[in-house]
Amino acid sequence: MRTLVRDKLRAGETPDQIKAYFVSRYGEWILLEPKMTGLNVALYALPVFLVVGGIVLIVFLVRRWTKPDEAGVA
Amino acid sequence: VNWKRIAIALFAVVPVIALFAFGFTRNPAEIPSPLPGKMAPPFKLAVVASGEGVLAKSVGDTIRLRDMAGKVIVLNFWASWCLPCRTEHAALSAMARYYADKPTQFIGVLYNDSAAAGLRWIDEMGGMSYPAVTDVESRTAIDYGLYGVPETFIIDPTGRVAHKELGPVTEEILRRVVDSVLVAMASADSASRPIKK
Repeated sequence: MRTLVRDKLRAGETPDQIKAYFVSRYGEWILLEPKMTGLNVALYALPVFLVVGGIVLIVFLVRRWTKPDEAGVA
Repeated sequence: VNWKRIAIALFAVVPVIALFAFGFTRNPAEIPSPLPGKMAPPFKLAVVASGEGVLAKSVGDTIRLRDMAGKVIVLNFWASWCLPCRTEHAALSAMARYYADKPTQFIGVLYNDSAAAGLRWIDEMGGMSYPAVTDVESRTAIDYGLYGVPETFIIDPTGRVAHKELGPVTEEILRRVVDSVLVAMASADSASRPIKK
Protein backbone atom coordinates (compact mmCIF):
# COMPACT_ATOMS: atom_id res chain seq x y z
CA MET A 1 0.00 0.00 0.00
CA ARG A 2 2.86 2.34 0.87
CA THR A 3 4.55 1.62 -2.47
CA LEU A 4 1.28 2.34 -4.24
CA VAL A 5 0.93 5.69 -2.43
CA ARG A 6 4.54 6.53 -3.34
CA ASP A 7 3.97 5.57 -6.99
CA LYS A 8 0.79 7.61 -7.17
CA LEU A 9 2.53 10.64 -5.66
CA ARG A 10 5.35 10.23 -8.19
CA ALA A 11 2.77 10.04 -10.96
CA GLY A 12 1.62 13.50 -9.89
CA GLU A 13 -1.54 12.67 -7.93
CA THR A 14 -2.39 14.92 -5.01
CA PRO A 15 -2.82 13.49 -1.46
CA ASP A 16 -6.56 14.23 -1.73
CA GLN A 17 -6.85 12.28 -4.98
CA ILE A 18 -5.02 9.34 -3.42
CA LYS A 19 -7.26 9.43 -0.34
CA ALA A 20 -10.32 9.53 -2.60
CA TYR A 21 -8.99 6.46 -4.46
CA PHE A 22 -8.64 4.47 -1.24
CA VAL A 23 -12.08 5.54 -0.02
CA SER A 24 -13.61 4.48 -3.36
CA ARG A 25 -12.09 1.01 -2.99
CA TYR A 26 -12.25 0.35 0.76
CA GLY A 27 -14.86 2.72 2.08
CA GLU A 28 -14.45 5.51 4.58
CA TRP A 29 -12.94 3.40 7.38
CA ILE A 30 -9.64 3.23 5.51
CA LEU A 31 -8.97 6.86 6.53
CA LEU A 32 -9.25 5.86 10.21
CA GLU A 33 -10.81 9.27 10.72
CA PRO A 34 -14.61 9.33 10.69
CA LYS A 35 -16.24 12.21 8.84
CA MET A 36 -18.17 14.76 10.93
CA THR A 37 -21.58 13.70 9.65
CA GLY A 38 -24.61 11.95 11.14
CA LEU A 39 -23.97 9.86 14.21
CA ASN A 40 -20.21 10.40 13.83
CA VAL A 41 -20.69 13.90 15.25
CA ALA A 42 -21.23 12.21 18.63
CA LEU A 43 -17.68 10.81 18.42
CA TYR A 44 -16.31 14.32 18.34
CA ALA A 45 -18.86 16.04 20.57
CA LEU A 46 -19.06 13.48 23.36
CA PRO A 47 -15.49 13.87 24.72
CA VAL A 48 -15.82 17.67 24.75
CA PHE A 49 -19.22 17.39 26.42
CA LEU A 50 -17.85 14.98 29.06
CA VAL A 51 -14.79 17.13 29.86
CA VAL A 52 -16.87 20.31 30.17
CA GLY A 53 -19.54 18.46 32.17
CA GLY A 54 -16.85 17.03 34.47
CA ILE A 55 -15.31 20.43 35.13
CA VAL A 56 -18.71 21.92 35.90
CA LEU A 57 -19.47 19.03 38.26
CA ILE A 58 -16.14 19.38 40.08
CA VAL A 59 -16.54 23.17 40.47
CA PHE A 60 -20.09 22.68 41.74
CA LEU A 61 -19.09 20.02 44.27
CA VAL A 62 -15.94 21.78 45.49
CA ARG A 63 -17.89 24.99 46.07
CA ARG A 64 -20.52 23.09 48.00
CA TRP A 65 -17.96 21.28 50.12
CA THR A 66 -15.97 24.43 50.92
CA LYS A 67 -19.02 26.63 51.59
CA PRO A 68 -18.98 27.71 55.23
CA ASP A 69 -21.74 26.05 57.15
CA GLU A 70 -24.63 28.50 57.08
CA ALA A 71 -25.90 27.32 60.38
CA GLY A 72 -22.47 28.11 61.74
CA VAL A 73 -20.50 25.97 64.06
CA ALA A 74 -20.05 27.48 67.39
CA VAL B 1 -38.16 9.56 47.04
CA ASN B 2 -35.50 11.98 45.82
CA TRP B 3 -36.74 12.74 42.31
CA LYS B 4 -33.82 15.06 41.61
CA ARG B 5 -31.31 12.27 42.22
CA ILE B 6 -33.27 9.83 40.08
CA ALA B 7 -33.42 12.38 37.26
CA ILE B 8 -29.66 12.99 37.42
CA ALA B 9 -28.93 9.24 37.45
CA LEU B 10 -31.24 8.67 34.47
CA PHE B 11 -29.68 11.58 32.62
CA ALA B 12 -26.24 9.96 33.03
CA VAL B 13 -27.19 6.34 32.44
CA VAL B 14 -29.82 6.42 29.68
CA PRO B 15 -27.54 7.80 26.89
CA VAL B 16 -24.88 5.17 27.67
CA ILE B 17 -27.42 2.34 27.58
CA ALA B 18 -28.88 3.76 24.36
CA LEU B 19 -25.41 3.82 22.79
CA PHE B 20 -24.74 0.19 23.78
CA ALA B 21 -28.19 -0.85 22.58
CA PHE B 22 -27.48 0.76 19.22
CA GLY B 23 -24.15 -1.09 19.12
CA PHE B 24 -25.95 -4.42 19.51
CA THR B 25 -27.95 -3.74 16.34
CA ARG B 26 -24.71 -3.60 14.33
CA ASN B 27 -22.76 -6.59 13.04
CA PRO B 28 -19.15 -6.08 14.13
CA ALA B 29 -17.89 -8.56 11.52
CA GLU B 30 -19.41 -6.57 8.70
CA ILE B 31 -16.98 -4.39 6.82
CA PRO B 32 -18.94 -2.30 4.36
CA SER B 33 -17.47 -2.20 0.88
CA PRO B 34 -18.24 0.48 -1.67
CA LEU B 35 -17.58 -1.92 -4.59
CA PRO B 36 -20.82 -3.93 -5.03
CA GLY B 37 -22.91 -2.25 -7.73
CA LYS B 38 -19.90 -0.46 -9.15
CA MET B 39 -17.75 -1.39 -12.15
CA ALA B 40 -15.09 -3.93 -11.23
CA PRO B 41 -11.55 -2.50 -11.31
CA PRO B 42 -9.68 -3.79 -14.37
CA PHE B 43 -6.86 -6.31 -13.92
CA LYS B 44 -4.23 -8.07 -15.98
CA LEU B 45 -2.68 -11.00 -14.13
CA ALA B 46 -0.36 -13.86 -15.10
CA VAL B 47 -1.46 -17.48 -14.72
CA VAL B 48 0.67 -19.47 -12.24
CA ALA B 49 -1.46 -22.62 -11.98
CA SER B 50 -3.32 -23.79 -15.06
CA GLY B 51 -6.46 -25.39 -13.65
CA GLU B 52 -7.91 -28.64 -14.99
CA GLY B 53 -9.62 -29.92 -18.13
CA VAL B 54 -11.81 -27.45 -20.02
CA LEU B 55 -11.20 -24.77 -17.40
CA ALA B 56 -7.41 -24.82 -17.91
CA LYS B 57 -5.37 -21.85 -19.11
CA SER B 58 -1.67 -21.97 -19.99
CA VAL B 59 0.79 -20.99 -17.28
CA GLY B 60 2.33 -17.62 -18.12
CA ASP B 61 -0.73 -16.40 -20.07
CA THR B 62 -2.34 -13.18 -18.91
CA ILE B 63 -5.95 -13.01 -17.81
CA ARG B 64 -7.54 -9.62 -18.39
CA LEU B 65 -10.89 -8.54 -17.03
CA ARG B 66 -11.84 -6.83 -20.28
CA ASP B 67 -11.29 -10.08 -22.24
CA MET B 68 -14.00 -11.75 -20.18
CA ALA B 69 -16.91 -9.42 -20.92
CA GLY B 70 -20.14 -11.39 -21.21
CA LYS B 71 -19.09 -13.90 -18.57
CA VAL B 72 -19.89 -14.19 -14.89
CA ILE B 73 -16.55 -13.96 -13.12
CA VAL B 74 -15.86 -15.46 -9.72
CA LEU B 75 -12.69 -13.81 -8.48
CA ASN B 76 -11.38 -15.46 -5.32
CA PHE B 77 -8.44 -14.01 -3.40
CA TRP B 78 -6.52 -16.69 -1.49
CA ALA B 79 -3.12 -17.56 -0.04
CA SER B 80 -1.30 -20.71 1.03
CA TRP B 81 -0.91 -19.29 4.55
CA CYS B 82 -4.64 -18.64 4.90
CA LEU B 83 -6.49 -21.25 6.94
CA PRO B 84 -10.10 -20.34 6.02
CA CYS B 85 -9.06 -20.67 2.35
CA ARG B 86 -8.76 -24.41 2.96
CA THR B 87 -12.39 -24.54 4.08
CA GLU B 88 -13.77 -22.95 0.93
CA HIS B 89 -11.42 -24.60 -1.57
CA ALA B 90 -13.53 -27.70 -2.29
CA ALA B 91 -16.67 -25.61 -2.83
CA LEU B 92 -14.95 -23.28 -5.30
CA SER B 93 -13.34 -26.14 -7.24
CA ALA B 94 -16.63 -28.04 -7.40
CA MET B 95 -18.68 -24.99 -8.43
CA ALA B 96 -16.17 -24.07 -11.17
CA ARG B 97 -16.69 -27.58 -12.62
CA TYR B 98 -20.46 -27.36 -12.14
CA TYR B 99 -20.68 -24.10 -14.10
CA ALA B 100 -18.08 -25.13 -16.73
CA ASP B 101 -20.69 -25.26 -19.52
CA LYS B 102 -22.14 -21.86 -18.59
CA PRO B 103 -20.55 -18.48 -19.47
CA THR B 104 -18.57 -18.30 -16.24
CA GLN B 105 -14.93 -17.91 -15.32
CA PHE B 106 -13.49 -18.80 -11.92
CA ILE B 107 -10.12 -17.26 -11.08
CA GLY B 108 -8.01 -17.67 -7.96
CA VAL B 109 -5.83 -14.67 -7.17
CA LEU B 110 -2.81 -15.55 -5.08
CA TYR B 111 -2.46 -12.83 -2.47
CA ASN B 112 0.76 -11.91 -0.65
CA ASP B 113 2.32 -15.25 -1.40
CA SER B 114 4.95 -16.84 -3.65
CA ALA B 115 3.90 -18.83 -6.70
CA ALA B 116 5.92 -21.81 -5.38
CA ALA B 117 4.04 -21.82 -2.06
CA GLY B 118 0.75 -21.46 -3.94
CA LEU B 119 1.54 -24.44 -6.21
CA ARG B 120 2.56 -26.58 -3.22
CA TRP B 121 -0.73 -25.70 -1.53
CA ILE B 122 -2.75 -26.67 -4.62
CA ASP B 123 -0.93 -30.03 -4.68
CA GLU B 124 -1.59 -30.54 -1.01
CA MET B 125 -5.30 -29.75 -1.49
CA GLY B 126 -5.56 -32.31 -4.28
CA GLY B 127 -5.72 -29.83 -7.16
CA MET B 128 -7.69 -26.75 -8.19
CA SER B 129 -10.12 -26.99 -11.08
CA TYR B 130 -9.78 -23.37 -12.22
CA PRO B 131 -6.70 -21.27 -13.01
CA ALA B 132 -4.79 -19.27 -10.40
CA VAL B 133 -3.02 -16.00 -11.12
CA THR B 134 -0.44 -14.01 -9.21
CA ASP B 135 -0.90 -10.43 -8.08
CA VAL B 136 2.46 -8.65 -8.03
CA GLU B 137 2.73 -6.08 -5.23
CA SER B 138 -0.95 -6.79 -4.40
CA ARG B 139 -2.03 -4.04 -6.79
CA THR B 140 -5.21 -5.84 -7.81
CA ALA B 141 -5.97 -6.70 -4.19
CA ILE B 142 -5.74 -3.01 -3.24
CA ASP B 143 -7.81 -2.08 -6.29
CA TYR B 144 -10.51 -4.42 -4.98
CA GLY B 145 -10.26 -3.00 -1.46
CA LEU B 146 -9.17 -6.36 -0.08
CA TYR B 147 -9.40 -6.52 3.70
CA GLY B 148 -8.00 -10.02 4.06
CA VAL B 149 -8.20 -13.50 2.57
CA PRO B 150 -10.33 -15.21 1.59
CA GLU B 151 -12.53 -12.73 -0.21
CA THR B 152 -14.62 -13.50 -3.27
CA PHE B 153 -16.01 -11.08 -5.83
CA ILE B 154 -18.70 -12.08 -8.29
CA ILE B 155 -18.69 -9.87 -11.35
CA ASP B 156 -21.64 -9.79 -13.74
CA PRO B 157 -21.32 -9.96 -17.56
CA THR B 158 -21.39 -6.16 -17.85
CA GLY B 159 -18.36 -5.89 -15.56
CA ARG B 160 -20.22 -4.74 -12.47
CA VAL B 161 -19.48 -6.21 -9.02
CA ALA B 162 -22.61 -8.21 -8.18
CA HIS B 163 -21.49 -9.61 -4.84
CA LYS B 164 -18.61 -9.54 -2.42
CA GLU B 165 -18.14 -12.34 0.07
CA LEU B 166 -15.93 -11.72 3.04
CA GLY B 167 -14.50 -14.92 4.49
CA PRO B 168 -14.96 -18.44 3.18
CA VAL B 169 -17.52 -18.77 0.44
CA THR B 170 -19.87 -21.77 0.32
CA GLU B 171 -21.55 -23.72 -2.48
CA GLU B 172 -24.91 -22.24 -1.42
CA ILE B 173 -23.68 -18.66 -1.73
CA LEU B 174 -21.98 -19.33 -5.07
CA ARG B 175 -25.06 -21.07 -6.49
CA ARG B 176 -27.41 -18.35 -5.28
CA VAL B 177 -25.40 -15.42 -6.65
CA VAL B 178 -24.10 -17.02 -9.86
CA ASP B 179 -27.56 -18.39 -10.71
CA SER B 180 -29.24 -15.04 -10.12
CA VAL B 181 -26.66 -13.25 -12.30
CA LEU B 182 -27.06 -15.88 -15.03
CA VAL B 183 -30.86 -15.53 -14.90
CA ALA B 184 -30.62 -11.72 -15.07
CA MET B 185 -28.24 -12.11 -18.00
CA ALA B 186 -30.62 -14.45 -19.87
CA SER B 187 -33.61 -12.16 -19.36
CA ALA B 188 -31.59 -9.13 -20.48
CA ASP B 189 -30.56 -11.11 -23.57
CA SER B 190 -34.12 -12.03 -24.51
CA ALA B 191 -35.28 -8.46 -23.89
CA SER B 192 -32.65 -7.03 -26.23
CA ARG B 193 -33.34 -9.59 -28.98
CA PRO B 194 -35.68 -8.20 -31.67
CA ILE B 195 -39.06 -9.93 -31.90
CA LYS B 196 -39.41 -11.97 -35.09
CA LYS B 197 -42.43 -11.20 -37.24
